[in-house]
Parts: sequence; structure tokens; C-alpha cells
Amino acid sequence: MTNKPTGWEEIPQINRDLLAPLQTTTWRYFLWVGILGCFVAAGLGAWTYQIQTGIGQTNLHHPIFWGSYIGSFVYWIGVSHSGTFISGVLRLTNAEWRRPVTRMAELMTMVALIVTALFIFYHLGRVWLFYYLIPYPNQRGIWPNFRSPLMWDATAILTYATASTIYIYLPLIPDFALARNRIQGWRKTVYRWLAMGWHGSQAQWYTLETAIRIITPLIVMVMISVHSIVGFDFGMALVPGWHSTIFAPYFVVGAVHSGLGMVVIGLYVLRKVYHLHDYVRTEHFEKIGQLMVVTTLLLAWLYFSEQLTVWYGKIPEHIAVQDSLLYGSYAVPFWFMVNCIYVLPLITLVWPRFRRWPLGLMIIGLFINIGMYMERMLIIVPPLGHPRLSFQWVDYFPSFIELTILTGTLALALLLYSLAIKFVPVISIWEEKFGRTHGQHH
Amino acid sequence: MNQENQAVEGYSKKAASPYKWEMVVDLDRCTGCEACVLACHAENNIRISGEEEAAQGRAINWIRIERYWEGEYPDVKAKFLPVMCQHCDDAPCEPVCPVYASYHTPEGLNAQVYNRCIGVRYCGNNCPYVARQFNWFDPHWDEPLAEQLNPDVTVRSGGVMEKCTFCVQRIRTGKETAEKEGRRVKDGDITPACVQSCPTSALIFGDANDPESRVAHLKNNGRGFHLLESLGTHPSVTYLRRLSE
Amino acid sequence: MDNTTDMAEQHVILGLFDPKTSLSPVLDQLRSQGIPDALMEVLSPLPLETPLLNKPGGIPLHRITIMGGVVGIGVGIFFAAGTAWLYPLVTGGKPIVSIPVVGIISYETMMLVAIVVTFLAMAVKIGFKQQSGIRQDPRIDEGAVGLSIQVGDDTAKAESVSRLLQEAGASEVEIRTIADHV
Repeated sequence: MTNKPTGWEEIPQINRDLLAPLQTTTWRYFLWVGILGCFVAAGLGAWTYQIQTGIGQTNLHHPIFWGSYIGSFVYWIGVSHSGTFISGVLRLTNAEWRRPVTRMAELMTMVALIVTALFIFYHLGRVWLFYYLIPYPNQRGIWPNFRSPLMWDATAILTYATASTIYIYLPLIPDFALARNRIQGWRKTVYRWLAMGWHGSQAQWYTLETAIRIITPLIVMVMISVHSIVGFDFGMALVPGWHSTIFAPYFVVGAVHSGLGMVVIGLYVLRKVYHLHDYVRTEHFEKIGQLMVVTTLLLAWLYFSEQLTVWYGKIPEHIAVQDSLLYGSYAVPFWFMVNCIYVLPLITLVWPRFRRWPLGLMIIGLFINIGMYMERMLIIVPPLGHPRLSFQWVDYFPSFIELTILTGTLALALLLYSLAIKFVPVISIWEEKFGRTHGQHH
Repeated sequence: MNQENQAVEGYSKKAASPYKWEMVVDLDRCTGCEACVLACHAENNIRISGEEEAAQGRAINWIRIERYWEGEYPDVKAKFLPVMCQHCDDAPCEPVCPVYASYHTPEGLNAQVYNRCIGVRYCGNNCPYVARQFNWFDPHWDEPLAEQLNPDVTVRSGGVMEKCTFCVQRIRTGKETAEKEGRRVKDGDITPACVQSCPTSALIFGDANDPESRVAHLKNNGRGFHLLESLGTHPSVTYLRRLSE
Repeated sequence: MDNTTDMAEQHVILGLFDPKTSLSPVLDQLRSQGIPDALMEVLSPLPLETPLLNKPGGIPLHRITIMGGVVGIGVGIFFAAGTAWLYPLVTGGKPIVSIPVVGIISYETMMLVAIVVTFLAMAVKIGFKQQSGIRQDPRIDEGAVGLSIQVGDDTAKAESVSRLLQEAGASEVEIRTIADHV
């Protein structure tokens, strides 16, 4: 104990820097929130209109019963994997560089999960009866059917949402205590409640760290199960192009792929806006860039295996779906998607110099996310549009109402994130301190 | 409680009921006239979609005539295939419903419980026959069609999945009459609307458990096949191959 | 603290130390003065590696997690198998109770209950099992390590303890007197 490593003298500076976004707000922030609010209002209006007039406001028509809402659902739940993957897996492997990234990523998980849940409601034909999905003893005398993959999904998402909330909250307790000591006004009361009487005693630290250590592997296992089950929603169906064993691993890797892309975007923007260059350094972008190379290759491998199997097998119904992607009515989005999520990341990110260029990484993250969004749509629509009885073959493109809801929801995600960073330090303050005082300061 | 036990047995022994309702579609007799489609609309209170919705691919038909062209112009032939819900014994649409809106009755019918349906539409995706139809909007009927709704059939609201029921209301009536008279349902007692209206008798309906019924005879006449048989859904509709090309 | 009367006075001493100072010697001295570990508390802005005080921890958290997991499996079996049996409906020729489904649902509910229960137990340990009179000092947030000691209503003892803390190198020592509600 006598020769404690240095780093302690940096603590006041860390406190000041990382609490600053909570304490000062510029007019630009309010403008940004206002603009987002308008989009959210538009989306809400569109949804209200859809509920009032009917789900037919979408462009869905049989046999394409699922469309942009379920596609977005899959996409957003993928984004929610960012936080758990980054902070969970990196915490498990004791990767020191995770420290400034975890909180931002965990916040994304939270926001993405709220948005994900919304898409279930957008999608329901009779949303006002959503409570039929909840298992409780009721006068209808009937429980939900747990044999349906949708119920597996509901259970998994409930678990994941609850667990992620807890998981983001645990490392926040000491930070809430710090905010409680430093921030006045009504927020102080809120922080006092949230800090649960934290005063940093050894017993408290021990309990907190134990809880984090226990919950981390559990939440990683939940994360993997959640997206596997979302994959099962498709894999369990008889639809050609869906009925495949690869969906569970493919969905999980795809989720991490888009999640990492989203984290890079978040890192870049937050670092620029809140001048966090001392905390989020080039090194962090570089590490995420490396991870993105891995996910790109993994995803490409899985996707190739799937498509190759279909191509070589030449089962007519399956080939019909593949043909529509390769050179049929979905060829343009398909090849654009392939470039966005496989080719472009691979040819850029393999270069070490590129990985040290934050802006470049941010742009790649953007492309990956656009590509993954399209990929989710392409998983859903072409197979549904090519049922075995070819008399029923159809195409689909989202309607204006759908696009408004989609945009509004994207705005809602950004809005929730923007509001969250005014309430929660974007970098875990105590973990950053811990990293600095324990000789991991690069 | 009795009914529940029946349902459990229904799983182990497919036919817990004395009846097994099946249909035979003789493709050799189908002329593609679509009288069945019209009769089905009238009988089952199917909403009138109108031109615009039909163009969007949203016209609801519990039975439809699929038309496939064979050969190259000018030597082309139109082949007609009436498709309705196949009432599969192992129906892919049933287990995926999270609220039991789609389930299997002990008589082997694939039932859709409208007031339980919340419109997740998974069943529609999972039906390989695209037999399931969705109410994208609340229903409407142009005057005077609104005056001719069948009182025996529920009018479905928007957001609900629906499909061919084998005219379950007629099956009920037929069974009740037979029960009153203390006998089994005779072949020909029950005719779904499509069967009734078919001018060429291409559609035949009956109880497959009755070895004397026309359905039982026809399905085993050597021409029978099931639609997408390889999927193992065990449909209750048997198609009879064309005799000549 | 069972022997204290209802509104007894309670002196709480807070010493602030530089994190480079070793606290072990001063803790030993305090122990030799008859102050049990239960009445002392080390406060720090980040977790310290070595446990300085020896306090009973209660039920280990991981045991609660495991118990929660077991309960969760039961919940999952009830939902996936039990509710199906309560109202058996045949769907798609599939069994009423299907083992893979029970497995999937139980896995999720196991995780759910295990994580929630762990969290609640942690919250109880953090939020409720704490000594009275500990005050959050802003200087601890800024990188000092605090040592908080309860000495009851013995004023002489409070002064001797505070002297001891000063000698051990505390940059600041404060005595506060609070009303003990125990």
C-alpha cells in the first residue's frame, strides 16, 4: 500500500471533465433536441393514424405479412447488442481499453431496447390487445402459447431488457453518488435515490464488484440467447430462405457487427461534442476497428455458407429467393448491402493506418449500419415474397406512413440518447479513475 | 374439462371425434369459373376490398383460383388450381401463434379464433399455401351488399387474420340436425358454399371417416395428391390429377 | 449497538488520508484501542485492492444468484409446461409440453430471476446495511481516502482516536456528534 501508483492526482480533473456534460448545456443542444422532437412527433402522429385507420397504412399485403417493422425490430435489437458485447465481453476478458467505451455502449443498449419494444407494438394488427401476450391468470381462462417462437422472443427480450437495465445501473451507482454530491436542484434528489446511499465504503465496493462480476457472464449469455431467439423466429418457419439452422449464429454476429458500427459512431460524435479526446483516444478506435474486421469476416463466412448451400442445393423454392437477390427485383439493395457490410469494411479496416483514423471508422460504422438495416429487410421481404406457390409472388416497399414511423423512431432513439447523456456521465467515472490509478494509463 | 381432455387426446390420436372433414378437388373438372370464390364471399361475410385494394394485392379470398400458364405462345394452356385452407393435420400456422388464435379442433379442422387474434401475422408467413388472409382495414360492404350478411358468421374487424373454415357454420348445423335425429351425419348433409356452387362438381366435401362417403372414395381413386406434400403438413384437402393434358 | 439507549449521542470521527498513505498500521492501533472493525469504515472514490477491514459479509452474493436461478427454472417450467397443461390446446400436431420449448423458456427465466435477485440482494447490502453517521465528504470524491470511526458517546475516546488519526498522517480530522436512532 505504501507505493500506490500515481493517477490519483488526476481524479479532480476526471470529475470535472466527465460531469461537465451534465452541468452545462448549450443552445445547440436544445436546437438538436427540438429538431428530434419534431421528427418524433411526426412518427407518433403517423402511428396514431395507423392505429385509427388500420394496419393497412403499411404497404404490407399477403403473403408479405412482415415488413419494415419487423426488419427494424431485428435491426434495433442488433444495435442493442453493442453495449452488452463491448462492456460484457471486454469486461470478461479484462480488456483494459474498454473503460471509456462501456457506458456509451450500454446507453445504446438501453435506448435500442426501448425502440425495439416499440416496433412490436407498431407491428401488431390489434395493438390495443397487446396484453393477450402477457402470461397472467385472466378471465379469458387461457395463457399465451409458449410454443410460439414469438413468446420465446417476448420472454427473451423481457429478460434482456431487465438485465441490461440492471447491468447499466450497477456501475452507475458510484457515479450517481458523485453526481448527488455535486449537482444541485431537483436532480440531486433523483441522484440521491439512485445512489442508494452509496458512500464508497470497502464493503460497498466489494459488494458492487462482486455483483458486476456475477452478472457480467450471465448477461453475455442472455445477449447471445436473445438474438438467437430472434433468429429462431425465422428459422422455425417453413418459409424458403428462412428455414435454416444458420440463423441463430448469423443473427448474433450480425447484431454485434451493427452494434460495433453504432458504437464507433457514438464514440466519434460524443468525443467531438464533449471534447473527450483525453479519454477516447485513437487507440480505442483502433481496437474497435480490429473487432470490426473480425465481425466482418465472421459474418461474411456465415452468409457465404448459407448462400452457397442454397445455390448448390438448387431446391427450386430456395433458388427463387436467391435469384431475386442476386439478379432479381432485390438485386440493387442486395449488392449495395454486400458492399456496405462486407466489402467496404474489409478493404478499409484491414489497413492499420485506416483504423487509426477516427472519422474514417465513423463513416465505415455508418455504412455498416445502413447495410445491416437493409440486410434485415432483405432477410424478411424476399423470402416472404416468393412462397412455394408462385402464383402469389409479390414485391414490397415500405409506405410513406411506415417510413415516417421508422424515421420518427430513429429520431426517438437519438433523442433518448441525447437526453440520457445529460443525466448519466457518458464515461464511467470511477472505472476510468480505476484504470488510471492502476497503471493502465496508455 | 371434458373438452380439454378431448383436446389432449386429439394430439395423441388425431381423430378424437367421429368425424374427419375433408375435401377433394378434382382438377380435371375445374374450369376456373370462380363461382366458388363468389359463393364463399357471400356465405362467409368476406369484406369487399374494391379495386384499389385489390391492386395492392389485398383482396381477401378464402378460396382462390390460381392460374398457371403452360407452354409457349401460341400453344399455351391455362391450368387452374383452386387453393383454400388445407386444414392440415400438422398445420405450420398453428404452433407459431402466440395467443392460441390458431389451433386444431378435435375434428381435424384448423380453427381461427377471431377475437383472440392480435394480428402478429406469423401464421400467415408460415402457411406454405398462402391460405391465410388478413384484414388490413375494418370491413365494409357497398350497399346493398351490407344487407345480405350471413348472421351465422362473425364479421371480422381490422387487424385480424382469417381464412377458409370449411364453412364451419354449416358443419355445426349439419351435426346438430343429425344429433337431433339421433344419427350420424350422412354424406351430402353438409355442403360448404364453394362445393354447393361448383357447376362442374369439382369440389367434393365430406367425412373421411365414413368409408362410404364420396370423399373417402375419391381421395383413394389413384389420382389423389396433396399440395406441397413434401412439407409433411398432412392436408385435409386432396387434389385429383387431371386425366388428360 | 444494542446496549445504547434510545437517543444516545454518537461521535463519528472522519479522517482524510492521502491515498499513498498506508492505513494498515493505524487500523491496527485502533483495534488495539478496543475499536472493533464493525465500527470502522474505509471510504474511497474507487475500489481498493486489499481489504483493510474484516467484516461479516452475510450470505455470499453468488449463492443468492444460484438460488434465484433455480427459482427461475421453476418459473420457466411453470410457464412453458404448466400453462400448456392448464388449458391443453393442440397446435400443429406438436406435443402439449415440448421439452425444447421448456428448455428455452426456463433458460431465459433462470437468467431473469438470477440477475434480478442478485441485484436486489446487492441493493440491500449496499443500501441498507450501512453504518449511521457516515457522511459523504467531497474531498473523498476528489481523491482522498477516508477513515470513519464510531466511538459511541465517549468524548475522551473520540479525542484520543482523532489524535491517533492525526499522528498517522491524516490531512484532516473531523469529529461530528449525531443522535443515534438505533
